[in-house]
Amino acid sequence: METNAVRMLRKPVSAKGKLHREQRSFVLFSLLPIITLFLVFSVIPIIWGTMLMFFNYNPLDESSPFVGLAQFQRLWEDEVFHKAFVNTFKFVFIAIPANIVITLFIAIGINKIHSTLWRNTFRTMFFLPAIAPLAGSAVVWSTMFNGNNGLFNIILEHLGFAKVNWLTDPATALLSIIVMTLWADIGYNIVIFMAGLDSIPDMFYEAAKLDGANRWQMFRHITLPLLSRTSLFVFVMTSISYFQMFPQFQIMTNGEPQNETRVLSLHIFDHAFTYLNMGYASAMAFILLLIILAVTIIQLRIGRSQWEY
Amino acid sequence: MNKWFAFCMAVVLTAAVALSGCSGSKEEGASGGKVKLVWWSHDNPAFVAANKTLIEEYKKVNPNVTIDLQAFPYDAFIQKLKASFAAKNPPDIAQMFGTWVTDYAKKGLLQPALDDSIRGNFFDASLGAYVVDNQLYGLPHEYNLENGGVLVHPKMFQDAGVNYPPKTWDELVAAARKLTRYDGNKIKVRGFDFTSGDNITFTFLSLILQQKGKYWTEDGHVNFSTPEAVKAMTALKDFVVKYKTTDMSLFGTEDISDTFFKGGSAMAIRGPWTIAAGKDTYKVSDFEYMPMPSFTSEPPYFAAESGWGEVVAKASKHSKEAWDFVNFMMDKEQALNWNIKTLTVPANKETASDTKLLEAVPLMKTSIDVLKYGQWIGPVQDRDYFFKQINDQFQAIAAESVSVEDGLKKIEKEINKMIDQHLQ
Amino acid sequence: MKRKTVDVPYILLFAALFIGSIMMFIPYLWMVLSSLKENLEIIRTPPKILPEHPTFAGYETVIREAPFFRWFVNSVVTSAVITLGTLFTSALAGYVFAKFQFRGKHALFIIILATMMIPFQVVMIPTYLIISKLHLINSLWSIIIPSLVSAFGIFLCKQFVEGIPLDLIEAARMDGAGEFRTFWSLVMPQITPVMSALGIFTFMGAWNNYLWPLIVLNDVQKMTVPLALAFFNSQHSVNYNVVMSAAVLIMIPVIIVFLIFQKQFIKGLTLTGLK
Repeated sequence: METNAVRMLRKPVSAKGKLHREQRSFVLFSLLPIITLFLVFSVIPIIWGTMLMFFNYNPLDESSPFVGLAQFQRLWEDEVFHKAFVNTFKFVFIAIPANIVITLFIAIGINKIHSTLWRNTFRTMFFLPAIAPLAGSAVVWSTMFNGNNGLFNIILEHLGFAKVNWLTDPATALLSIIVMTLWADIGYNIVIFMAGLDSIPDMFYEAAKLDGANRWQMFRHITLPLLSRTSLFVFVMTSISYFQMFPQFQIMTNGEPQNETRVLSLHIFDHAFTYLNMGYASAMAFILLLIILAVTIIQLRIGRSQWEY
Repeated sequence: MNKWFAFCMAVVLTAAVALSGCSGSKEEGASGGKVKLVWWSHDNPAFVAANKTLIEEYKKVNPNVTIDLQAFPYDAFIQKLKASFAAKNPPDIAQMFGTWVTDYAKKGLLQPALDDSIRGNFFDASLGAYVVDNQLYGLPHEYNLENGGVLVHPKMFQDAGVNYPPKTWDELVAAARKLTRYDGNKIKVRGFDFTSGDNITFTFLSLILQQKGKYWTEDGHVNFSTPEAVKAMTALKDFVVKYKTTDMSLFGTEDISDTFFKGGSAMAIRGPWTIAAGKDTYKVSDFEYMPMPSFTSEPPYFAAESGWGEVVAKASKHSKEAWDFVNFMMDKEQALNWNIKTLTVPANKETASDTKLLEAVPLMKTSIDVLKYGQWIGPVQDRDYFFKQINDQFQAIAAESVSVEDGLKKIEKEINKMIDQHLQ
Repeated sequence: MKRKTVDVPYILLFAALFIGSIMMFIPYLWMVLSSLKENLEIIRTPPKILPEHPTFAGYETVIREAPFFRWFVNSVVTSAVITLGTLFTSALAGYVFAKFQFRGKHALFIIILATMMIPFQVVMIPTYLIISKLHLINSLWSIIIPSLVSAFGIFLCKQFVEGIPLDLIEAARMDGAGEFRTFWSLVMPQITPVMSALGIFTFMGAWNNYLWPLIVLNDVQKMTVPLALAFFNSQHSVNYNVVMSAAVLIMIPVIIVFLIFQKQFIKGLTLTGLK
């Protein structure tokens, strides 16, 4: 360190100018290709895709007429869109709290296990579904939910219960998909919560024990507050991804029965690629983006965190 | 770490360059009199096999033409077609479903047929979607019908002491009710089933036609506020709500023909193409394909889509060779073999009346007999949207959350809105 | 002092977690068992959980009807190039954004972050048209090139590079190391944990991706492994032993990669969550 300081003092002024020039060209040469790729394959498609909402765009047409805000008026009248909107919130409002509660308790549970080997084994077991392709998991689960020869109905029958049409009964379809989503997804949050729990110093609990606190009080007054930063992160990331969930809805039910499992992402996909109403799909995607943005901001506000990018 | 990283990078990049290099996109085209055509189809194994046979046969006559057949899963195929035409790099020839053709033709993306006189060889229903502004934009292999025939288990009739086959609508309903079996409140054997995505719509439309009703207006919109439409929809609703010969629990997950072959229904109205699955996948032969009785005293009129056929892209650099191959496929002999291999109903009138067809596929007789009663479904514009509206509302009607009249009004409104968008 | 007693709550907890993790494993078990069933066994009533005559017919069909080995090589190569490329660009851009000052930096970074929230459906058609203009359709490059830069990766690396003291970097510069050398031999080794997490994330994402390859690849010889799922799911929706076999074959490599790198991965994932 000392030698560097000495050398720095000795460096002539001109060399410093050269240094700056070298840094500038380094920034330029390293960012240029990256930013170009980024522009071409991210920014331009996004702007292009978003601008489509002002047009009646069908990729096969030569011309696409400008329609202003007509797509949004159509949204206002589209009953299926309203249903998809409600379904998306139903899904999110059940799945996210369920996810957080389950993952938090499993994480606390695993952290209490004394043996490192078992702790790691449990963590791996719960995490394993998260690495499988979601589309593959959805195919596997739709066979498990099958009304005739699916695993769940085989078990129900053995136990002497009546079979359930998991994916075709309007009462159970969305719940079935939520169960599948939780299976596929809880691994991430368990790992993150476990890390958050690890960072809470043991002395807090020891002190609380000396004060005669019970398990619930320790959870309520130590674990929860000290996990708030982790929880906020988990909440925000889970919300962003759950609002956009797609493969299981397309593969397991494709929105049926009676549009009970049609969520916004599926409705966007269908209008964009099945009906080729790209303009209308863009308008819906824009609404979805606004929802995600709003939810994220509200969560951050409530979390009162210094969220740094 | 760094050396390892750099080493991996080098190895992998070399591999990538090698991989993409050895199979790089050589400029397709005519070199030394040789022509390479790219031909897309969907990946139904029977279709792929029949297409490959066509290529081999063609090669014998035209050794200079290489045809590269690329087959994709059905859903992906639809999207890839749209994407490739939008990006102006479509295949030379595409084996499209007839109903899709209209949209591509209207947008000037297809090459019109060189020889228009061939039109008379085909059934009108199978040609409908291939004609835009009185110009022919492709040729059909298949008369795609979902009506006319019913998959049926005669043994179930025998066991229940019901006369087989039912000849009139009333007999059909009576038989269906007697054949339905419940296990608690869960249906075990469906007496008469029609609850699949295609068949709800097609059965509905055919019941309108059999009352001599119409569902198109002069300006290309739909009209479902007719008494005929109400009666047709009520008849379908009754099967679910009143007679309870089927329920909606299969909709969207299992094809009604799969349920039928597993013994889950006594009668199921489904196209003749499902017969193959029964024989190949389920290895059953205890079923028959009986004529569907008419709803009225009129003949069993029905609506049909234009089925699978061939189109040539306007952007193709070898449209002459492409059309030559398409015409070869439509040749009587080739067409017959194709229809037999794929178990599809011929679009070509001569092929349909060829005795060799029924020798090879006896069960197809039921369908062949009713071909003359079929008419083209009409300019539905967006086929999937059209069917989805009817299916959505039928589910609501069957669940009794909406009345038949209101449901029909909603169908009409939504479909006409879509049609307006397309006619703009 | 402490007396050894039977800790009932602890045993209950252990049992609950044990049962829970077994339940998490059931779908995998079901997948493997279904893949070993015979065609007709799947559709037979009454259905059984265990295969009566275990057979590899499903796997044979997958290997026979699709050039599975070729797809496997394609998948390995594209996923590896994407992973290494993403690691390199993320680290480099992360370093530049963390340690250099230049005009427009703030705005640029915010734009990069904003792109993370856009649903893929919005950009799919425009991206396809761009790829097509570049004549990359039906080439493996069409999968690789759009995935070489990751907004998430840049974000992650920037967070970590910020933790490296500036003195250290200044020192390297003063020692006469070039800017790239400083990055390569000083910064890169410092961020290994986050690189391994990002690497595994990227690899899994690339390996599991199926919508995009399905759209841009036409030639059967050029396809990647997950497409087997799309292929066999449409053709064999009834005999799903074939689909299940394809699913098993797709999942095995990811599971192996995960088990090998899991320690670094969990460490990296943890860091991303807390930073």
